[in-house]
Amino acid sequence: MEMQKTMYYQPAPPLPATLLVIDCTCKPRLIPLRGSMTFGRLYNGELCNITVQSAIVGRHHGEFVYDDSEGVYYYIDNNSLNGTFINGTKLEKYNERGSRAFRLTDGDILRVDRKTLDRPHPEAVIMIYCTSVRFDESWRIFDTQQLVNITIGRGENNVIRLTDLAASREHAVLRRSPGGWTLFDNNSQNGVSVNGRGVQGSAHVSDHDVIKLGNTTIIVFGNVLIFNNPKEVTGNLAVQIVRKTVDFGRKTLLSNIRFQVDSGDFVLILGGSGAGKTTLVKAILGDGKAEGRIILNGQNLYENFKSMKSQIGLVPQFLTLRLNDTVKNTLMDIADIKLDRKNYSKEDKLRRINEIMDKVGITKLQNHLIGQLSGGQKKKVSVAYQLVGFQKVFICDEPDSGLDAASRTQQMEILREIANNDKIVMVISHEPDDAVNVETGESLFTKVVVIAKSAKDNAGHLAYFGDTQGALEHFGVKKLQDIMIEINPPYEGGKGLADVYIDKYQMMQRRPHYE
Amino acid sequence: MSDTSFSTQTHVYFKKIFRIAMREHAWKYLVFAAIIGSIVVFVVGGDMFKSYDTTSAGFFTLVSACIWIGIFNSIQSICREHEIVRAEYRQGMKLSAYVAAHVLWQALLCLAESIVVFVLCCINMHFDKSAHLMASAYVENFITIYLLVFGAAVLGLMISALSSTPTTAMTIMPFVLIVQLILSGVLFSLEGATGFFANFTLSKWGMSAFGAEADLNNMNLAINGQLINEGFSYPAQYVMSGQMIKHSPVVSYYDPKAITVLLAWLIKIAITAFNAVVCVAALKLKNRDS
Repeated sequence: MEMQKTMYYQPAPPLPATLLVIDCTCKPRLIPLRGSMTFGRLYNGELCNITVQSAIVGRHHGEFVYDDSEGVYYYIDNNSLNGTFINGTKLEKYNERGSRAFRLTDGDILRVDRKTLDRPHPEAVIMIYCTSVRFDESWRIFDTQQLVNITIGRGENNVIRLTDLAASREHAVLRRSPGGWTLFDNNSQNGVSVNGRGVQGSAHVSDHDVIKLGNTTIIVFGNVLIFNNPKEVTGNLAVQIVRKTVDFGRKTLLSNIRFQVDSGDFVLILGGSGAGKTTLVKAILGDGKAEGRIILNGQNLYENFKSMKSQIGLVPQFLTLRLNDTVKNTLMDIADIKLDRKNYSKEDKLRRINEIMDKVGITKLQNHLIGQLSGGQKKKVSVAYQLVGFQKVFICDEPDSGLDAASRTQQMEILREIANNDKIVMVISHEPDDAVNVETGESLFTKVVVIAKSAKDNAGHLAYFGDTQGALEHFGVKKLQDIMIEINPPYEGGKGLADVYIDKYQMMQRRPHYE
Repeated sequence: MSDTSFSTQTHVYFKKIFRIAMREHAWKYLVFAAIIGSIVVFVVGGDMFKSYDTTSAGFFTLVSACIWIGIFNSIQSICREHEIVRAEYRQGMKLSAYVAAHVLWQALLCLAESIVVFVLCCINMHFDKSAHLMASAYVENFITIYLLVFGAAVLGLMISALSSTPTTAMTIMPFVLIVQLILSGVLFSLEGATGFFANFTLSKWGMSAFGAEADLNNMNLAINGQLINEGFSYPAQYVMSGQMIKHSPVVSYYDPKAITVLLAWLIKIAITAFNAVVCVAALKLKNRDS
């Protein structure tokens, strides 16, 4: 099987903060930080929020303090006996209450240990503050006792084989040396760091040191290596937009839009006029690139635009097909362009076209000129046209506009059927409640993205992302289209509650949702 | 899925353009060519090859007609489907293949139109000078007409690619035509900057090829020496030659040699190729984010 190219590592917009804790039990634990939390030894009677099994940790050793004005965490050592080392430096006593507050950033390493860090205490505790690690990532423990050389990378022959696409095939080698290991970087694309410092060629690695390569964190812990293996992402689309600006950065159109959809999802994009729906769609298509990343199947669209652009298809609101050509000729021509002769014979292409026409319900119209079709039929041809090339993602801009209620439902059923075939279909619609299963009455959408324009900065923010039922509950409405009434400004007939829901959603995101 | 080749895509788009053109009654372009050609030929044809000024005026009108016919063919071809091009480019269309298909179609259409115009010319004009490059002056004049019509058609494609809408393209077209006509070297003498810019026009090199074929430099003016003896004053660019008045100085690019005709053709081909490249570049620029 052909291996995917190594991705350029680029820090993603932050995830909810978590703390990776490893104590003498040698079991990595991911603890979500939920507001300010205390840290100390597991002790009968009095418990801190975060507890560890270690004799050298105090009962009230330190505190993680959340600053909600900036959305960041600080750590304070409570003048503990053994103190806390952050990135190799001990926090000094500041006053009677404790040390100065240390502002934490992704990857900061906190240790409770003796002063000689290269000879850790048997009951030393290591904690890593993370905003880039997903809670559902698997963490593995790898025994190194019998090994002298450990090769690390995505290639099949590595001792530690990673699924992280930011890791090179043969990324690095750990070679046993006096007092620990020597780490060699194999001229990897994204490099490697030890305790936050980049490695040039090679570096010494001691017990309890933290190695970072791409999205993978490896902790040397006694005779084992503890490392995460970021999920091999297949068939999903992650939208990570930090912001989208125009006018040389003076005007922000979108801010902090983050969501991920998977194969099979049928996604509704809702938002008032001017909220940024079209800007979002353009950013996902790569037509109007935003600051951030669009990750499709683990590859960054913006960095591999030329090779990946054809994987995301757009069914535009207005027809972009030649009216004086027949349906079949139009589809056959795009098949000739997208499917090469080497792999697809004329018969293969014809078979595929016939299948698509059948699926979309336009077989009887195949010899009609597109200009002679009705609005709904033209939209079906548009959908069929996009289906020819095996796209993974379809974005449909108001595929139901100008159609009667029955046609709208039928159109949405066709799109739902497409999504069922391991595709992602995203739809902008102003009549979302027509997209229902006619038998059960349930919504056809599996996910809802709501973009609302904040009055604070006039930019589009995410007011909700989740399932349909959750959307109705979040906005306290009975119909999806009523969400618009909640978030639209009063001059557009709404209640003007956009900021309320944006804040509510952000609060919901900050709350720990992994237990 | 992988990208199909340039030749495959050119073939697909050529078939598509041809099919749609047939459906849109492409024969009407031939009718327009016939109408314009008829008017030109029957108005100026009778006086062709009799004197410098009537022949020069006749060729100028023919050049103008050819440029008009060519540009009119293609001026809206691309600008009317910019959104379609954007969508198809995203799907994997090669812009160079798309433009190549248009150029090929124009080559075919222009060939038919040139035949129509040339046949009409033959009815009322007599290309009776000896040929420079080929067996017949008729063939050489046909090639000149064809390269003019085809060159203008590709110029039209370029304008179309640069214009956002058909309205914009149709607004630009008269300006381009005026520039071509002014810089043809017939209405005004080309000196300095105008002389330099004229080198990039199809009209100048069309006139050059026709002028060389007809040996314009050796033609007499319509007015003769007797009129001058009666006190008729003539402009400075004309001189007495015996009893006849001739154009002076001799126009270098009307030099009746094979090299003049060949150079005129090659430059027209070069201008056409340049316009096609600009057409592709303009489309790439327009779709750079897609």
